[in-house]
Amino acid sequence: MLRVLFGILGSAASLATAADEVARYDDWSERELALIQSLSLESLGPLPPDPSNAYADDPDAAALGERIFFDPRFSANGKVSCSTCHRPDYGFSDPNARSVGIGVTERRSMPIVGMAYQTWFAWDGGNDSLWSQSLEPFENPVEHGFSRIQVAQTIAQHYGEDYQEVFGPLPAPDKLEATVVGPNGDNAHEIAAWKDLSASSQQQIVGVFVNIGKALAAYLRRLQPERSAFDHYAEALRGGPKGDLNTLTASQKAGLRLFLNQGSCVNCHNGPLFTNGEFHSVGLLRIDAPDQGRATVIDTLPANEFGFFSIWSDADPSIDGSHLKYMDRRPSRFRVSFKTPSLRGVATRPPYMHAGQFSSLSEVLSHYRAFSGTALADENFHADLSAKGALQIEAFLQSLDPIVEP
Amino acid sequence: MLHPRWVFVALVIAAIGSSASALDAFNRIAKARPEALDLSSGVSSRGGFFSVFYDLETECPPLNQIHSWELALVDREGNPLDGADVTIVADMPEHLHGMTTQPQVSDQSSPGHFRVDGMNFHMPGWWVVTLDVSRNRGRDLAYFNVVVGEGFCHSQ
Repeated sequence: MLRVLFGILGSAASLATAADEVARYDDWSERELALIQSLSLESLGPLPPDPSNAYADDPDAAALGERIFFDPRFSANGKVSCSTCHRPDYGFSDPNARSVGIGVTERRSMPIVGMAYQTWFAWDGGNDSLWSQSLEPFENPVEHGFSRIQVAQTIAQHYGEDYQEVFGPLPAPDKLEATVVGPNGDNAHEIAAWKDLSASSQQQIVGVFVNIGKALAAYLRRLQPERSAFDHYAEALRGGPKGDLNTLTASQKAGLRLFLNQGSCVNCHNGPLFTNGEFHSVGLLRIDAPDQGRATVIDTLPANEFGFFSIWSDADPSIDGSHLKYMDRRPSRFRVSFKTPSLRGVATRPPYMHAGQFSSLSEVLSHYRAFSGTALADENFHADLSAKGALQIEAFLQSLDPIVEP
Repeated sequence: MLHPRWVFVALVIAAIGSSASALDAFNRIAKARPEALDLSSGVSSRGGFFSVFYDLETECPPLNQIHSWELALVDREGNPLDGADVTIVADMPEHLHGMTTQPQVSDQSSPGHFRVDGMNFHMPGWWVVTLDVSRNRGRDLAYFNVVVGEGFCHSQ
C-alpha cells in the first residue's frame, strides 16, 4: 500500500513538463547508454551462419522457400499456407489469440522476423533449427494437416523444375504415387502403410521434405527487423548522422528509463531483437488447460527426428550446436516457461502472450504489475511500477514499430 | 471442547504447511547489488586454499552468447593446482536464478589450467560465478563478481 502511495506521489512530482525536463530525459548513465546501444539495430550484426542448413544462404533456395511460404496447396484443405498465421501485413503473426489452420491450435503464432539470430524456435523451443521448425506445421493436424509425402507430391507437381535446380533430382514418380500419409498418420492403417514402404523410399520422401524445410528457412532467415524511432534515437545518442533526439517523446524516454531500470523489462527483452531467446515463466498458468511450455520438450528434444544433430542436419556435432550441447536439461527449471518474444513491432500485433491471453499492451503491463514479487513467478521483478509508469512503458513500446525511411 | 492452546498449535501447523513455498524461499533471499563490486578477474578462495584467475576471448563477458572461460588455479604456495575437480555455476543474486546452460569444465594440457565451455549470461546485470573445487578430500569455493552488458566489466 505504501509503495502504491509513494508511486502516486512520485508520479505527481514528475508531472512537470518544462523543456529542461525533456532535456534531462536524454541524460543517461554509462550503464543505460550501454544497454540502449545493445538494444539498437546497429548491434544486430551480419546474418550468422546456419551450419545445420547447407542451403541457408542459397538465393535460389530462398526464392523457392518464399513461394512455398505463401502457397496454400501445401495443406489438407488447400486453404492454409504458412502466411495464413504468419501474415506479412501483421508483423508475420496474426490477430487470433490461438492461431487457426485446419483447426484451432493451442498457442498463438509467433512473429518470425529476425529468426536467423535465434537458436530455439516456437514458444517452447521444441525445435533447435529454423528448418526443423519450418517442417513441423505441415504435419500438425490442426495446422496444415498435411504429410511429408503430400509435400513431396505437391513439389513434384508444381515446383519440379525449380526444386531440381536447387536440390538435384526428385525421387522417381513411382516413389511418390503411394497413397500413404506418413509416419504421423491419423490411424494405424496409415502408419502401417508408411512402414510398408522400403527404407529407401522413405528416405527419398523425407529427403524432399527436409529440403523444403531448408528452402523455407533460407527465405525466413532473410526477414530482418526494420528500423524504428528507437533506433533513430539510439543513433542520435552515439552521434550518428541519421540520429534525432526528438524521435522519442518525453513520455517514451521516461518509458525507456523504466524499461532499463525499475521495470526490469530489459532482463529478458535484451539485445537488438528485444529478446534473450530464452524461456521464462511469467505467471500465466491456466488451471483449465495447463500448458507446461518448455518443461514438456526438454526430454524430447534430443530425439527430434529433424534435430540439429540428426542425420538430416548439415551441422558438424564436433564444432556446432553449443545451444544444444550445454542446454540445461532439468525440466523443473522450465515449468510453464515460454520463449521471450521480440518486442520489435509489438504494439501493432495484438493479442499477447503464448495463447493470446491479453488483448492489449496495457493488459500485459497490468498483469506484470499485479503478480510482481509473488510466488507465481519469482523470476519477475516489475515491482513498483505506477499506473503512469506502465503507460510510459507502453508509449516506449510504440517507438519500436517499423518506420518508413525518409 | 478443544483447549484454545491446541487450536493455536493446529493453526500454527496449518500455517507452516501452507507456507511451504515461503520456507523453500527461506534460503533464496534476493540480495541487492552492492554500490561497489569487486570485479577482479583473480580471487582467493573462501577458505584460502587456492587462488583462481579467469581469461576471456573478449574484453567483457558477452551478453546472451554462449562462450568459454579459461581458468588458472594455483595453491597457497603458488603452484598449479593439478588434478582438481572443478564445477562452475553462475547466479544472479538479485533475481534468484542462474544460467540456462550447464557449463562443462575440461582439464587443459598445462597444469592447473581448465577450460569452461557453455557459459551464457542471458540477462544484463550482476552475476556471481561460483567455482566449486575439490581435490583429494579438500573442498573450497571461490566467487567472481561479473557485470554483463553495462559497458564496463572491470573494477572502477
